[in-house]
Amino acid sequence: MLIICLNLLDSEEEKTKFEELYYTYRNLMFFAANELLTDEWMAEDAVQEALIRIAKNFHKVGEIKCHQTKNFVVIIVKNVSLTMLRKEKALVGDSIIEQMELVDMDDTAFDLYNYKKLAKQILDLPETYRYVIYLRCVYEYKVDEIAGLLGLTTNVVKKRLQRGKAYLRKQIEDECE
Amino acid sequence: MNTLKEASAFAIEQEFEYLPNENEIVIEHIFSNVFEHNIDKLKKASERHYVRFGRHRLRRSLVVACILILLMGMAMSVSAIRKPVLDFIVHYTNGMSKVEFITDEDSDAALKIEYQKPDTPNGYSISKETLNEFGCEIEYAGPSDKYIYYSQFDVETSGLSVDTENANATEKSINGCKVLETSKYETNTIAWSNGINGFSLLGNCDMEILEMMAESNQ
Repeated sequence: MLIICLNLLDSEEEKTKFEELYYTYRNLMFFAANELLTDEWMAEDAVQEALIRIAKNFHKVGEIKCHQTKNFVVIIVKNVSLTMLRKEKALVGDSIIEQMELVDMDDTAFDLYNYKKLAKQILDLPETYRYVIYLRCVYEYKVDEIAGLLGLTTNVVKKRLQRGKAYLRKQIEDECE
Repeated sequence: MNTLKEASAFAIEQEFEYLPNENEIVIEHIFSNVFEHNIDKLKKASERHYVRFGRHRLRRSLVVACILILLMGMAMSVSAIRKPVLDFIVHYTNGMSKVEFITDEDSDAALKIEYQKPDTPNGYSISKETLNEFGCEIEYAGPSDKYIYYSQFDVETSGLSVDTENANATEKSINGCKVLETSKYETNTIAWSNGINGFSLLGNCDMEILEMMAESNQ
């Protein structure tokens, strides 16, 4: 599998770096996938799919052995696993968030609030919204890159960002009142 | 840093705080045949887009892949003539280490390739033997699920990578040839050149058995 993933990378430097990522995190990725899927076969599929997505969008991955990259690979493999789980169990979305208005919101709108309180609200978001926000705000991936990483259309990513932020804003305003 | 970014970074750390470190996961998962099958399908898809592609993967054991021989594009004919191989250099990394074979480009000598089969160890039998334009591969089955894979390949058209991550890697001499030996978990490998071709042996047997097989190859 490594060979296949390596073919998705452009330079020798990227290949070496991807090898390092693969060997560092393959077991952790399997652990994270299996934790959700509780099925080793499905977990393998999730790891495989996640590695291919990471390889295709590898240019922004920095240092391999650090918390940021560790969390990044887990976000991707968990997202793949959740998508598989959703198909398997026909899970429905969160209706409250899905009814949120689609409004472009500047990130500075959150600067009024305490970051720890905001973090608590982020952690209460469903993973589908939370992971998109992580990838956009922390890893600074573009919308189309997030779409590639998560196997979504750019339109869905935009909507999740808009709705996720709108929901966060509402929740934190309610809490402050 | 804006507050949303700071909060998101904090939330990620909180969310994944419970995850173990990679080196704390003691039991390494053995990927299944279904997984391998899926990879084969991906391989076919990749071949449509890439000239270079690995054609040989050995990952039935605890170790994911100890030796990978990568086809460089050209096929090797059985009657091919090759320049002498002088040496090999291992470019060590913390994962797959590339083995670079050095050929004597200035030499006028043209060496004819002959396929070689090592002695079969006691208690082992040949379960599969393949001779094709890419080289020669033999699989041996032994007692108690022991196995050995032998490969002869052309160093000009194939690349060799060896898994040296957390493995013991040593370079020594067998029959006057420099060999690279690696041991990882229960899997041992030997890679070498006889001056014409590259060879590799991989097995979950003792290293002494692989060394005996390597010695039997002239």
